[in-house]
Amino acid sequence: MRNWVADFRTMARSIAPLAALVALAMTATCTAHDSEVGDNREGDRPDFSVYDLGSAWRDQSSAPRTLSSLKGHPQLLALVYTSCVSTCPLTVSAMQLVEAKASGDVGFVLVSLDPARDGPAQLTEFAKQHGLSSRWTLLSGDEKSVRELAAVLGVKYRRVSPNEIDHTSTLTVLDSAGRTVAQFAETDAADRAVQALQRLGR
Amino acid sequence: MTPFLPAFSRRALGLALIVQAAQGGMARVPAGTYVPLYGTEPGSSVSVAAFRLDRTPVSRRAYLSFVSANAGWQRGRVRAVFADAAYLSDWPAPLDAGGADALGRPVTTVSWFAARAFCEAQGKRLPTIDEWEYAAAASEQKRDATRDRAFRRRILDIYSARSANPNPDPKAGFRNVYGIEQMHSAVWEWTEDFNSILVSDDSRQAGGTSRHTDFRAVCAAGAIGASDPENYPAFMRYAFRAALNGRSSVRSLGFRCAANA
Repeated sequence: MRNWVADFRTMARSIAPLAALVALAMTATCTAHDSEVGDNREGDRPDFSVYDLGSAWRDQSSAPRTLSSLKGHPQLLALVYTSCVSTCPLTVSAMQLVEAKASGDVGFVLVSLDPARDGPAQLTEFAKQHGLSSRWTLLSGDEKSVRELAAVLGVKYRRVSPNEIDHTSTLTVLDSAGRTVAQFAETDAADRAVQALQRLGR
Repeated sequence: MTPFLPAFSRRALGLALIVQAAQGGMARVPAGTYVPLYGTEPGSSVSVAAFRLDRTPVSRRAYLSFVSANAGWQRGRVRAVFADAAYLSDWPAPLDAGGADALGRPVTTVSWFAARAFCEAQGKRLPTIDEWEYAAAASEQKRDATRDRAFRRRILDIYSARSANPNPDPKAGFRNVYGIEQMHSAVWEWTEDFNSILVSDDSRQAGGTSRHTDFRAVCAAGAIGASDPENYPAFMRYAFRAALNGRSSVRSLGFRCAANA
């Protein structure tokens, strides 16, 4: 068994930067992990923008939206769904904490993982319940658009019952052009998101 | 339709149908159930509807003709959101996939977006994880060989040999009972819902507040909630998928297309 682990690691090295993640999962080595996932993709293509996804959405006021309509100032984005009772409220409060602390022109985006249920009316209701300000955009798209956005951002999700969707709670900081500047796996990393946004504001 | 044919003729007819499907490049996989490594409940089985799957991974030759006809998917032209910087980086040039040997090998270093676009252009789609794993559970003789220790050992050996050689022999491996080839021997393969694997801790099953994570987030998370912790080949595939995003273009990762039956 040791042999294939070694071989797998050899292969994994050739696909850095995935290697560490794969080796971690395969060998179950215990290593303290950083709550910051992803990176600003230095060395990757500078023309990268999440907003180039050609997907179509509707916002909480029922207006048709493209992702590129979010261009122009930094955004803090998360994928949630309105009937979610466990992690999503925490994600939203973490984002509100960021809103209270972050200076400058920053937008906040919630994208529904459950577009069939989260129509504009439901999104409006959710915004009201949580007291979301006018800086927030709530988006609902089709299944394909959601899966594509999640795939780009590295968000994992799966419907586990008619009412429940498992998903990773990832906060993504996008710059004004739609580049991913930072991602946070844990909602208690809100302070780090604030710092990343403030760096952009300078 | 065939009640009056003797049994051997019916078998021959079935064989003829399989051969016919194979000539179309796809094999039909009948409906059934299987136990995913990470189900919604550990050990619970999932129903898979009948579907068709390419007999072999998509070749560089086929992918070259796709990018020739679809300039937007050529290296240097593809939008950055659809593929990272490594996309098709192992080709000599954007419209040169290498010599005859290379053309026959599975295309790799293609992103999930690119793989989907290729399949869509053929009127097909990527298989789901369930479809892929269900078909990949088959040996030459059995539809479900995952509990067979010798079969597991063999798959691990194939994976090891593959990692030692970046250009594995396309004829290595075996043709499974459905007539599908190289599911293990050639490359890792994209699935439509590769980003749907989350590993939950025990609190969920206990009815507590659910707290979900993925392979990266918690040490030794991979074994928690797995239906069959001894199924190392499946662990390797799931761990690999967990490390990907939709833009990842990786040298050991290719794809094949599926279609509804």
